[in-house]
Amino acid sequence: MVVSGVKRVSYDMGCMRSLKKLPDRVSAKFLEMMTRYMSDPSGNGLNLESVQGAGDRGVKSVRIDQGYRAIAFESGKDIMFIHVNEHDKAYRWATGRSVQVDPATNRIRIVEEIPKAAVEVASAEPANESPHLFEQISDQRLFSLGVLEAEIPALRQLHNQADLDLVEDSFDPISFDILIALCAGFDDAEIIELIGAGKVDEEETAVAKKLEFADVLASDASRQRIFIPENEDELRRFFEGDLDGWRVFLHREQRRFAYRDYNGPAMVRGGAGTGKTVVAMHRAKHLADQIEDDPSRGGERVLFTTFTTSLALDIEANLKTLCPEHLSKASPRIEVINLDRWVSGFLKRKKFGRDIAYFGEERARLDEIWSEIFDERRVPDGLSEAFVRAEWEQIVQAKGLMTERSYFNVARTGRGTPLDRRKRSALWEIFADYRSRMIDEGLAEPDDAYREAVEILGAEAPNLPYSSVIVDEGQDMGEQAFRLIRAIVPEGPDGDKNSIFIVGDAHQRIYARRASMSACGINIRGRSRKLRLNYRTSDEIRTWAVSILEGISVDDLDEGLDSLNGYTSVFKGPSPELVSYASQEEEIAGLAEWLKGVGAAGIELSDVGILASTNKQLELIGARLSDAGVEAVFLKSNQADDRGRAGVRLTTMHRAKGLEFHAVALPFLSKGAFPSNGALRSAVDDVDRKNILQQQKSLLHVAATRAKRALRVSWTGEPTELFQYEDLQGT
Amino acid sequence: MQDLPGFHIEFEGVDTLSAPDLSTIRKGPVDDAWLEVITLADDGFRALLEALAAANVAAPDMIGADLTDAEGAVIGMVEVGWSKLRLAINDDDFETADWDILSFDPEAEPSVMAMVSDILKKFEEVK
Repeated sequence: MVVSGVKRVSYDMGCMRSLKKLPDRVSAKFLEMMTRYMSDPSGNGLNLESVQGAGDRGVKSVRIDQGYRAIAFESGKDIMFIHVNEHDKAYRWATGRSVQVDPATNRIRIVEEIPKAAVEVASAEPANESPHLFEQISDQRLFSLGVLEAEIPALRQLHNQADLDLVEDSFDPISFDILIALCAGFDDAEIIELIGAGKVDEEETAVAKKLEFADVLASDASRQRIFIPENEDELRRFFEGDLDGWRVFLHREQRRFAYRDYNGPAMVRGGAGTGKTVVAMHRAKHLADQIEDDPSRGGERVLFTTFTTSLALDIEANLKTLCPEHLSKASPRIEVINLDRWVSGFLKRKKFGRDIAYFGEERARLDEIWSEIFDERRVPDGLSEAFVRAEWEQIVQAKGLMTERSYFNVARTGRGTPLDRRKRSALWEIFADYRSRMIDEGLAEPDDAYREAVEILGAEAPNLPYSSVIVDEGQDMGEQAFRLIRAIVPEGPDGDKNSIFIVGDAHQRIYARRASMSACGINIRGRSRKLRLNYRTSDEIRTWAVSILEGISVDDLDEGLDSLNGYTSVFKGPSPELVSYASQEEEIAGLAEWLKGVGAAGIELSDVGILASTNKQLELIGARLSDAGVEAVFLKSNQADDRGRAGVRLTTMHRAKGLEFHAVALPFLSKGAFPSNGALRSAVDDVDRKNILQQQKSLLHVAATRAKRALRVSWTGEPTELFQYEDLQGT
Repeated sequence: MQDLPGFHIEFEGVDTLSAPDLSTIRKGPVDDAWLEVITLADDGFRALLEALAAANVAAPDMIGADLTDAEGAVIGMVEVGWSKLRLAINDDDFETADWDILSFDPEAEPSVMAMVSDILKKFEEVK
């Protein structure tokens, strides 16, 4: 039957998941067909064929090309695509399927009577004598959470999460998410909160029973897994994105955090891979949509900022695919820029007379000033020159201290060298001298720039175009940075609604900065949320990455402590590969061999990252890979990662923040090489050394959690002490 | 207490004698120690420190000093302290098992007398 009238076309998450497993050309052809239909439904009708044996007359097949078919569900004026596969596989998948509005959960469910035998065959360990995965959970409880009755016999066959992963396609996506949450130890209330399913109460059920497919399809709840493009551009962006679906398929929790109003500053914390940046980007879109919808707010903007240039570039590139209409050069409603760059531009416009020393010549000149001072002045007894500089950076500048009295009274909690007021007095003379010389030379440090900007903004009537600031990787920003953010969107007479939105995780702090929001005038009390499910990284990789942080205590970016309790992954995978070599030559050769294997397994090399701690190590690897004929792309700090470029990605662990790869290799993790002796030598006392080690552990944790499915860790000789090799060999 | 050398209290609305000049009360190294403490201390503690000096209390050997935990990390700062007595005065509370930290609120004037009395008692106890 050819459908030529105007139909509303939608795409279920399962359709995109299945499409992602197929060659790119299938996706391209499918997109072409659907774009043609959208542009002219009458002239480019869809040929919908009935599927024999389907559990529902509405289940149809659509020819993509000779070898591939899409499976759709037709109901009234709606066509919803639910699966794509090779011809025979697509038909097999459709057999027994039906699409229903489930009055118990108010959702559209794709139901299949799953034959028990199918699950047994698919199970990783068919002869497994171990207990069944859900044997402690009654049918009634599963049903009340939203698992479909028809799925219960099949899930009773599962022994472990690996079994469940293998039969993912057999379950309705909502049911699958519920089962994963049960595996993760969530209680019922948490699952209902997370998934948004669960049995609705009687009153709601009465309403739900009246709802038609078309109404449920367009409901807010369905947006978690069903995408309805409004125009061809939106459809194209959807297909041309990474198909992981983050642009459209937010989990209920993520959507709830992003798409709502807050009465003041808000924060979302969560371990790596929980989707904090995705939430932040959708938050930016939501706020920009509000500006667009209100003509009286013309000219207003959302400032989206983070610490590093590279991360800002990656975020901007992603936002251009999420909501390009808000990033037009002429009148952007979202401005993405790292905070250092923003403050430089701001101070330049305000004719600030000093150069900000980020790196290069200016930074070298500051080093010279310190040397001159140490030549002329005596460092107080028991203290080192390195300590003096660390005290300046981590206390005086970080806290914005401008007077001796303020330095006398400041709390130095957490520092490793105790001082008394006599020493503080002697140190202040040195600090005052340094500051005076720096000003005389026309230089300023980044914290000076933030402080100056705060002063300027405080003295002026509000004139910036920003209605909101969104901060990604908040854990890497210091106190002065957050004071500036507060000054950019000060609390006004009308309140503080939607002013600041921060995402971060102190477990991933890789720079020696720390700030408490309340100390910076940012009150997040009652508006702090947490994400716990890692959607990016397999449970095996996550477990290994978390083990690196064992025993470490971290803050919650405010006055409290944070933990990774309940942080878990939604899928299983192979354990990280830990490989020891006798020589560096062998280690690099082993890495090249591994890359060949990854390529042979069908993984695009552009989806493979080799992360090292130094550029020098990357150059060494790059040269050897080049000799071996392996194409490589060096990711620099000032460029976004264009996945259209072929080649394995080589980048530093620091630069890798915010990126993700199918497979990641972490080479050169030998004792003495990571952390480098130089890094540890810079410690000014035992506590500082401990802090440096903690930062390096966080860096390794961040690097490991860039991997989605495969992680390879290697070293020459003895491994770094940052992870327990012996304990993990068997895992 | 009114017999203590240099002891002086003022109440708002009541005429009082001028504040004693500490430099005229004592001479020698002990006075110098107190003068240094008073110079470096926070202004809010001045009245208390002057009262303690006038009461012939030994000058504290710790001024604006950080205290550390067992691992050597700073856990807080005390305004003044006597290390041998493990006794300190501060305007902010923080937890430490090793020190007896007396809390002093510079904003509450009567607390000067009470604090001097407490410190004298502590000194008596260790004699």
